[in-house]
Amino acid sequence: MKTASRKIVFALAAALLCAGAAPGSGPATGQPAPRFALPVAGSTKTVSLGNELAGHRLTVVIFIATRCPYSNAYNARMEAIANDYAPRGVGVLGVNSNVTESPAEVVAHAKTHGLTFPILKDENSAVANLYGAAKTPEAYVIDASGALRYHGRIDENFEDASAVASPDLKNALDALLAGKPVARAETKAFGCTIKRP
Amino acid sequence: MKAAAAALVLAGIGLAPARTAPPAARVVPVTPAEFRSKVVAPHRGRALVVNFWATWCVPCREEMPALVAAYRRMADRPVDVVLVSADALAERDAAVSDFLRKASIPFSCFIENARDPEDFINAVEPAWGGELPHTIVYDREGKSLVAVSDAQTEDGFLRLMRRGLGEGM
Repeated sequence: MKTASRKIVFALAAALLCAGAAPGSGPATGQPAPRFALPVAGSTKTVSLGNELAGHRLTVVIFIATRCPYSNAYNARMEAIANDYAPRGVGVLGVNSNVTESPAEVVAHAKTHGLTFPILKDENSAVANLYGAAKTPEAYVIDASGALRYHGRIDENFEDASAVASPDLKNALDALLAGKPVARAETKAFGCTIKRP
Repeated sequence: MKAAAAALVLAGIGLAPARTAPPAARVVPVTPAEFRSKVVAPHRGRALVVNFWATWCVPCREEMPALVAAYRRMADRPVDVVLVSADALAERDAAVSDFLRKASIPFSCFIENARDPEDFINAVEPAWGGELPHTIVYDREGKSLVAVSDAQTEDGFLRLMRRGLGEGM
């Protein structure tokens, strides 16, 4: 049964991945977030978005990198969000879509920087294509129905976490958890281009 | 100011101004509202390649020699190159100027000066997500023709420069 359901998940992922999109052409907020299943970096375990949605009020998918200083500036902030919001039913998934960064490197990076949320390896950047993700870090918030509710940055100040004026990802999570609309559902910041094959 | 005025006069009579000697590694802050007037408009009459980069962006630094090489191969053509750094303003001298000087980069360089980076990104191009490196090519009228967000090779930059001159697709 396990093998059969795994085959279905992979088949679903493959079908969805074949319908990949170019950077910047992912779903708009309010639209269904593309489903995917990816291996946890350095592991035989697979995580499917569908299962994550079923187990959480909100799921945050963040495209991250090991070598991007802009993404690395957010390591502690991402970990804090994962820990702070877990008791409120929010799951965080990291996705590494850089073809230049191996699963072993992703595992070592997570260990070095204390990232405890699952980091999935998107070997062919196929999930980045599905979401139209262009850079790292780039965050997506998906509600339990599978609809995309927020897309953009973690906040506006990568240099100084203590001087953040616009914690956009947290604001989106707080609003959604309170049953309110997200005031700024699309935001931008600089970041490192995802290295696709 | 005089150079910009002369460029506009020459553009008005159909002559592209010649390249001037590259400035030293002076990095000039530019706000979102100033982007068009400070970065793009002074090059009217010539094709313009604007390369958005940052010292923290490894592919940006790696593609810089290719941009310089392509620029030198187009030395007799009316094409200019300008850099815009997304580094923090506080890094202007210590990181940005230092990198440009040490790498002998011959281009003028601006540094974005916005309270919120989103304001600058949208002022440059609303369709741009903020990923770096990012290169935009403008034609002689200052109209944006093409934008790319991958690190370019020398040939890639040459193709972009030719696009700016209206040659090839």
